[in-house]
Amino acid sequence: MLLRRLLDTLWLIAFWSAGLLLLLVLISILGYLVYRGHSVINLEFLLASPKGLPLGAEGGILPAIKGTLCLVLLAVAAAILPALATAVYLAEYARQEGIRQVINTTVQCMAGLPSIVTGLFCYALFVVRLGFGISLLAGGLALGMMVFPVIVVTARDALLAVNNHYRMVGLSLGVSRWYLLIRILLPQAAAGILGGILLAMGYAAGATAPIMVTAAAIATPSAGNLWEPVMALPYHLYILFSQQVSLDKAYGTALVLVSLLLILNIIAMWLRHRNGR
Amino acid sequence: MSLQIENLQVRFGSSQILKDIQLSFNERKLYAIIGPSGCGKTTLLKSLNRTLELERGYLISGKVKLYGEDIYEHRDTSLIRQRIGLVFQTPVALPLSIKENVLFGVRYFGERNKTKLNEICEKCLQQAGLWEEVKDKLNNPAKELSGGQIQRLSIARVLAVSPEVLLLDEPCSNLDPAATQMIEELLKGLAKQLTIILVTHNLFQAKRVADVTTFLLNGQVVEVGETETLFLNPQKQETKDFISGLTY
Repeated sequence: MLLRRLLDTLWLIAFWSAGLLLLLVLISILGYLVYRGHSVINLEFLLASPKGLPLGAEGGILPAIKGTLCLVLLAVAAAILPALATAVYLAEYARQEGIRQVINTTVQCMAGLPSIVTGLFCYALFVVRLGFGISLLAGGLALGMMVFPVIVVTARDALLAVNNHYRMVGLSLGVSRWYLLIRILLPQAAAGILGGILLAMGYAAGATAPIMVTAAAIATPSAGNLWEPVMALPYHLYILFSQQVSLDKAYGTALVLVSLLLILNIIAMWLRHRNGR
Repeated sequence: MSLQIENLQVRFGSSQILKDIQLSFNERKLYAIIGPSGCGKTTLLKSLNRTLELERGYLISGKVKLYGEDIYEHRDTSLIRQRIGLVFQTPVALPLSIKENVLFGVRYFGERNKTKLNEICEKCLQQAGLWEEVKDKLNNPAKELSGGQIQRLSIARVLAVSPEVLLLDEPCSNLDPAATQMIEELLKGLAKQLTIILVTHNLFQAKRVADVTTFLLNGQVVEVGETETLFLNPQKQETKDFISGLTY
């Protein structure tokens, strides 16, 4: 009996420490970023273009912030309609198990695709074949392709989580699936779907590989022109770091990027929690 | 005759749930279908307005005629479900206001006129005996209502699309006696206007409200008769055994 209680306590301690370790890793990453990066964060850093030689050694990261925002918005804009349509089909319309399984597996495979491969494919298709060139448009579409499965899966699950009684009651009154979807199911799943979209935005904001080959520029004054290359936070960070331009600025950039992701994830979590209730 | 079932068979995988059902239902009467759990009562009811096919895996054959027209040959399932309404066992409030719950189907079928919509809402809530309790809070979320109120709201929601036949699947099994009595009174009133088919495992309920009672066992109709006759003087041994549960 005593032994059992002892083992119980030991396990409890083990699980707790595993959890705490994870939290510790996260906190130390954040802490280290704040420690190394906070000194360069000021208004100029956030609101100026990179300057100095090599470029980026001085000045700020505004074009990269703008570029990342443009890329993320474009990615979501490109992915949202096909992804929602797929999710609605999977959750509400697909009657045959076989078809559903094929689509689910395809979506899973897309989610598992290494992002550099997605990037290369989009380079071949958009940049070269369709002649977009290295551009915001090509990068946005590449990121859109990357986040597509994230939105499909979260939206599908949000729809499936809606009380099935609503479907039976609605359809037994003679209304169409479409009417039921618009009036009941989508509003009920909205918070969860929105949470999934925010999650996808965070994922797109942090991705480096797909934009490296499709959209990113080391420096460009413009951000927002579809046909021009753009700067982006993760790529800028990569250059600052890998070319030894300025480690301080690199940590500052990383801190800005991580803060952005953290905010998106917190909103997404909050929305998903609301949907769960 | 408003509804006639000919040779209805329902299979689920390798098991036969309903065997060769032959039944007919007249207008302005209340029918009860009784039988032990798992005898196919709910399946029978759901196959009468084509909601059974919303669940996967059922094979349905035979005919269900609504005023002579086979509902399974009809291409418009929507119209069939509107003409033959179904109230489920679990009281369900759609995540809308009380008023929008009642008008959910009505709006789909195209009614836009505001005055007309308000009239329908009031009329159906009155028919369902809920009007007095909710008339001052029609725009409140329906989920605030109690179980018994939600079940009456479900009935109002079905009545709002003007069905010719009303099917109810153990509508009182989740309700307390007071709410049950209220719904029974309501059904007796409604039976003056339409055909009502009530599935119940509560023999007392069948005895209290039904004109005609059908006893279903293992997916087959054992006996059909005027309620009084069936309970007082059952013809088949199985019926006797089942009903004797009343007194024993």
